[in-house]
Amino acid sequence: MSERFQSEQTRSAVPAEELQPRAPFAILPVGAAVTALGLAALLGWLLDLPHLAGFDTELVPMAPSTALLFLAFGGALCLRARPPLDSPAHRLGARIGDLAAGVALALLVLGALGIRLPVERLGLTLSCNPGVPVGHMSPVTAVCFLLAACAARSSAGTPATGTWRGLLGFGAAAVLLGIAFVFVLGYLYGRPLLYGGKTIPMALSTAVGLMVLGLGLLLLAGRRGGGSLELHERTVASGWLFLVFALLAAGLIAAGHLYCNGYERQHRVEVERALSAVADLKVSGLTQWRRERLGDGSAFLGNESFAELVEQTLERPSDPRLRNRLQTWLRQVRGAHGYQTVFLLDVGGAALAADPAALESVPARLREAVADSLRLGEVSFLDFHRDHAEGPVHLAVLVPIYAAQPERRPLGVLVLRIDPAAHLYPLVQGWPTPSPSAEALLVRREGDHVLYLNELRFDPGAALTLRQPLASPRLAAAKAISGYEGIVEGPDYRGLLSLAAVRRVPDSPWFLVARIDAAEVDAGLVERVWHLALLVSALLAAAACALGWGWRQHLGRFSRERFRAAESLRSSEARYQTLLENAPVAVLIKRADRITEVNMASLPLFAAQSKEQLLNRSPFELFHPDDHPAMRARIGAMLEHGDAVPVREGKVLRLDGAAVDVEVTAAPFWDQGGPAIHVVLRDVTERKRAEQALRASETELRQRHDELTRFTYTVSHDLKSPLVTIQTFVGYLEEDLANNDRPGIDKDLGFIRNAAQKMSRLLDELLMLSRVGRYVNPAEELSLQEIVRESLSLVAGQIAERGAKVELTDAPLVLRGDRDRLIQAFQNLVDNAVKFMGEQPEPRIEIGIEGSQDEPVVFVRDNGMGIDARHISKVFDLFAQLDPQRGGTGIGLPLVRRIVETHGGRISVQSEGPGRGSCFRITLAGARRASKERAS
Amino acid sequence: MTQGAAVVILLVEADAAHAESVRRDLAAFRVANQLIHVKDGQAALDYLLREGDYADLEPVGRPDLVLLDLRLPKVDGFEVLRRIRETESLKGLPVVILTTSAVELDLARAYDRAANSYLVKPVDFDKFTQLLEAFGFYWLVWNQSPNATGGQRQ
Repeated sequence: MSERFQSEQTRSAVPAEELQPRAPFAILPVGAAVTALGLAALLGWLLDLPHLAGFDTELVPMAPSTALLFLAFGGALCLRARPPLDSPAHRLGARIGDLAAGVALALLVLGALGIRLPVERLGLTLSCNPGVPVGHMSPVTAVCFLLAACAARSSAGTPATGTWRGLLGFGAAAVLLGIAFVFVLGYLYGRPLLYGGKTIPMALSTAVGLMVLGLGLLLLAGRRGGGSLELHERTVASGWLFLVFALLAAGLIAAGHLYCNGYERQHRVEVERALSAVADLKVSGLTQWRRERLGDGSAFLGNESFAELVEQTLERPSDPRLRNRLQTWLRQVRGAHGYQTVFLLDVGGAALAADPAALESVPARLREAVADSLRLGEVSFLDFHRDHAEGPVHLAVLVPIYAAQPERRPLGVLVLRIDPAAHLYPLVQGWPTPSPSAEALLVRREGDHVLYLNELRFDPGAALTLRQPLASPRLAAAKAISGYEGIVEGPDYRGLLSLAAVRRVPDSPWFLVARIDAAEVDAGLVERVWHLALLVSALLAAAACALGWGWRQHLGRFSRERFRAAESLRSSEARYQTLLENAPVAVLIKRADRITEVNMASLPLFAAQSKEQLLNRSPFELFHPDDHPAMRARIGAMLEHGDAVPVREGKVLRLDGAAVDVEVTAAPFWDQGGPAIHVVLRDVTERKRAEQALRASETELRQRHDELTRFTYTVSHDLKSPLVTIQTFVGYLEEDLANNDRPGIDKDLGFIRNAAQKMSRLLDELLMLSRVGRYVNPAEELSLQEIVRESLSLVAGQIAERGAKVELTDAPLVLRGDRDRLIQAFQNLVDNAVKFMGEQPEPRIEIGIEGSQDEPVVFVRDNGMGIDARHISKVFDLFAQLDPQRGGTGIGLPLVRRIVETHGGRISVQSEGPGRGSCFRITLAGARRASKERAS
Repeated sequence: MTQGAAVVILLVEADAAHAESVRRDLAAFRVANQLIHVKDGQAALDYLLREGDYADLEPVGRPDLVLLDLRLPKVDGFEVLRRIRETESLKGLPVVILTTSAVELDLARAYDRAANSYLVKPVDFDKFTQLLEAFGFYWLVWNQSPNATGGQRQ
């Protein structure tokens, strides 16, 4: 087959498309995925596999109630994946969705009231520690389920159910998708949202499930958009669109992730710097404080006057003056430096003096320290201690007092007792910026334990009571004691994750820990993640909207184009049908050797009453058998080359069997997936008839023209000839008259007379001839006998003179024509016969009829001179006289021929030879056919 | 040129009157010894070819000149001329056309068939006589023909 046919085949092979609105093909897998997530979570709870329920033990697992709702929604989606929209499956799906929405609403209300029913966990437990209550549905999840139910309900109806419902469904699904996406992003950026707050956070698996659910509902709500689209086109286009969107989303999420990581690092560094700064500040403050305290003590160390006063007081304890002086010293020390109590103890530990004076009893711990202090001989600290288990925490500065003479005799110890709550604790605990969890703590080593020295922010009364093993991993205080200085991340005294800067306080057993809850550090981050996730979601939503808008535009343009194409195809088809039906020529379409289509113009051509009479016939039945070989060759050529074949003349067979001349044009084309041939037939009968008539009239015209030419030039000869004779003999006559030659005169006059007569006859006959051909009288029905008798009467004289016998047949024959002309024809024939009788002693003329009944032939036969075969062809030529002796003009027989021919007949002559007579035969149009003449 | 030399002219003329006038004029000028008159083309051919009625016409010699009309019964002048020119023994025979027709076509056809001269019969007695006189002198006295008997006999 040719290429042309190939291309037409591909053009026409447009598959029929599905116009019915249908659920997107992705609904079923979406429903299945949602169901699977729910099932997995339930299994996780049942089998105590936290990874199945929540991906990680650190993360919140999906609540059993949430899993059940996922099962319900997934099932509902699956039920609605298949058309038709009104099936029981759809209704069941809708019921399930409503039920799930009810459960979600109930849980939301309960959650808002702060009631968490244990029944929600279905009596199951899961071993995980995300730091938040598990097994309860997050209120956010409940809201999401309500949105899902709303979207499912709105898109449940047929596409005809109004636009606002569609928009509502679409919007609800989009919001659901957005919320789930924000939470997924939170997980993705490493800062799960809502953790650490009062609200139960949404589990990662829940967020993923809700995202998938939202996607499915979005598809369900958006299905009414492109129902008229071809599936293939839509799949390809939406595939591209999805790819673009996926790339965009991936880019946005990755950018968000990078930003989040960078921000987190920076934030962390800032927090660490702040912690370090605070720690350094605290350490320097503490060092300063200690130095001052030691300095206070140094004022008494080696103070000879004070030592002298103490010595004198020891010698004279009851001296009120001495006691007063001593008391003044102590009061001044206490008042100037804000010590809680100032004791002066003797070497035995008994109080010599104290300020305020009321506190005379010396705590045991101080008495014990006296010996050490005296032995040390320097100002020293008595570190944090309690006098008894419930007593307040104290510190003390010990100053040994020695007598000047004899050298370094111990006198006692001055104890400057410090209440840390007054100055030291505020110094430690104060934080330069407001913070809900930041604090500094002071620890020292106590055996294998860490001892917390100050009051803790979140554990009041811990000072000197809270001990934690040094071996605790990642415990900031333990690390500090182990000699580490810097940032430590680990659990604090409460076990909560915190970030801490640790320092050693120089010249002391103390270590400083400036710590802040990791949760507080993260709080800023989480806030950032919230913003970021919302921003990314908004950007993605905007991108989705833009792409969706573009897609709708594309769909619109596509369907407009398709509509236009279909419209143009329809109108083209209509034009073709109109053209076909109204064409003035017969058009047949042949497919697979059958006529499959005919137009109205074919009916008269084939003399058919209805198209059915022509349809389903073989084309060979409709054509004349003579044309069959040519038809086969042409059909073969068309199918092989695919080109039209040239116009050809042929014959078709009408249904009544008659053949009609036609002009056949044929061209192959591709019709409904098969080769077909367009055949155009034009009836050329009329044209052929006209052509024939034209040819006949042309022949006649040429004959007339020849005749006229001959006539003209013969006239110039034959008319001139008598004139020459007359002129010449008039000249001779004059001569003869002059010579008085009587016989000459007679002869001359005879010639002149003859010439004049001849001329006169010639002119008469020429006139007669010119009249023939122009019908003067109307045609009428005439009997042969009537005509012949009439003509015989006109030539009766000649007949009688020659003594000829005329026989006329009795057989009836009706002629039709101009009476006068026909009489003239027979008169000339008889006259001619009489004229050329020759020497025949018994001249006889026979007029009869021969030939068939349909084509009767009238003959005029004589037994005269006959005609020499050499000259027989000239007898009907104008002015062709065969014998000048007979005095003819050469017009008689041509005249007869013209009369016969104008009556639609023919004339011929036959002769056996000179002396054997001749026979003229006339075929005249018969009575029946006479009516066809141009008589009227 | 000798007066009284036997010059034979074949006159082919259908019209008796015309033949008579030619005969009288030629006789008046005494240029022809013998004028043979035939009335149609067939007779002319028969005479020249010794056929038909003239098959045994021994003593009469071949004509020195043919005066030929064009409009003739049976066989017309053109056909006669064609036959003369086609016949070996008659090829050189001078043929003078004498006719009433002044039609161009006839003139052309005659010369086409190698007529020696073409004369139109004038419709005037004096001119007719002058024409025949001039013709007689020109053809029968002055003109030399290669095999004309008239020429040889001088």
